[in-house]
Amino acid sequence: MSDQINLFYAAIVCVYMVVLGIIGWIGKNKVKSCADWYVGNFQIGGVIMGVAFFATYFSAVLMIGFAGNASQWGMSATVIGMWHAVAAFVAFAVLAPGLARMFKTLNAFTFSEFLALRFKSQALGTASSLITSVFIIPYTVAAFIAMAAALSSLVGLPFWVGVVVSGAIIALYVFSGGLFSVTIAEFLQGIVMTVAVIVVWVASYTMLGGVISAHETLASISASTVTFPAMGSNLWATVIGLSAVMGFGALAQPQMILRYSTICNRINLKRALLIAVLGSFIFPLAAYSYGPLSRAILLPLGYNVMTMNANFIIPTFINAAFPTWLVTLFLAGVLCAATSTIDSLVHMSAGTITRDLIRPFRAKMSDRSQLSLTKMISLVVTVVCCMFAIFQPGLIVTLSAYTWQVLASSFFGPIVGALFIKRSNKLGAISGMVAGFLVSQLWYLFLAPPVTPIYAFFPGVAASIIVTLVVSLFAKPLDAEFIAKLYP
Amino acid sequence: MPALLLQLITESIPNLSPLGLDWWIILGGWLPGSLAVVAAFIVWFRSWKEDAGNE
Repeated sequence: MSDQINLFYAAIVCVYMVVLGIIGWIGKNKVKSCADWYVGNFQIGGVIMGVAFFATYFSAVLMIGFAGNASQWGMSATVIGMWHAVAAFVAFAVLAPGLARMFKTLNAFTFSEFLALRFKSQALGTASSLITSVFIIPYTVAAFIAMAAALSSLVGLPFWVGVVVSGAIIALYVFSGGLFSVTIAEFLQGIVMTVAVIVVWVASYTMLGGVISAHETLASISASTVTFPAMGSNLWATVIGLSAVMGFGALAQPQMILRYSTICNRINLKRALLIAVLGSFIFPLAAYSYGPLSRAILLPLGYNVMTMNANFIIPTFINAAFPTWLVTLFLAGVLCAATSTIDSLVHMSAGTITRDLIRPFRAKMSDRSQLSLTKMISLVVTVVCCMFAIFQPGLIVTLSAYTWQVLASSFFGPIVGALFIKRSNKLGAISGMVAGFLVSQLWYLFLAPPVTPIYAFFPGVAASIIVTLVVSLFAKPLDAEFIAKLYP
Repeated sequence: MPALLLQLITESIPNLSPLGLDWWIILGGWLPGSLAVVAAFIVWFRSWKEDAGNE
């Protein structure tokens, strides 16, 4: 019986691969140039981009990894999730209008290219693309681990086979269709994964007799599951730190910036805003809620989440507590959530390596050869991340939080300068990026929790913004005509 | 029965909201998240109304 069920789930995975293959083929027919592959030729609509935004934002990292940790942390973890909605609002209402305008004016295809053109500094573009290419790897690896953990627990595959299958799925359609394929797929994936988490969320509350009864059951296991952690405790530092890192940290992630800076016009921007904020409210609320609820449901079944590996709590919970149809839906949701994030990371990494690291040193590179090289690098990035993922170098939460802190600390200052401070210039942006990067790394090594209750994100972002502003005040500003073109 | 149980828990755990969760969870997370949704709806609605008026 168990083998039959596994074969059934394996068939679901195969069907999913075929669907993505078709999407990749459709996308391939639309891709005629680098502009098509990188930014969808700035033609992607608001509804599709809104769904693609939260499909990229939330992945199996949240459905499996963060929800698994939330089962140990309790309902205070929902606070982390709720700040995602606030961050999505800031992304689309405050940052996107200016960024979308500047991306188009400068004809920038990647985030690093945007920085290089805005501050007229190839050195800044190269340095930012190096940071992006290297430090996005832990997050991509975390997403592969989450997807493989779900595949191994639910389908019954060995973990390494789960990683290989995940890599094959990603390579299949990112290689062929670029941002067209990625966003079309993300639109469908966003819908499936949202339905999956909402159904698991509602089913969990129903199993525990409703909202209030569920919280009472949690409280009867431990009061800490329904209370906010004491100020200064490790859990308090985690909740406050991750609320900021996974919320506002998203604003400075290159893969997220590509989502909200390539929308075609103002009305589409408003549509995307509404959909992105709604998705960023519902999805994390559901995932961060069913995490803690799993503790109450698993306890009578003989599982104590406090002694389990957090990466495997949610797959175990889904498998043990729910009927086959719901396990199938959740598996589809995990596949969608994981691929929708990994594809954007691979797409962004390949684009950055080709366009910002290789192209500046190969002046005679044609559009066609650049496109071929980008596709090949997307395959290489996928293979490298899969190889790391097989060895599970750390917990999903740790790897993700590390990446987001480093990238946010490095890029917050230059982004704020580029968008809001006309006087900001090359020296200011480079100094801010280096200061944010170094402060976050040093803080992470020597002063991160549990040594102090403060995450590296806070001093890193503060250093990045302050240094960008202060150095820009004393360095030579960019020419007035260029600045006037950027701030009409 | 659930009401009695909630009352007992409320007495043993201070700061519990009627949902059975700490008020800090509601005010520190659920409220700002809900406000973001309301603000997004207002921004979208104003833009939609403006466009409808132009047509």
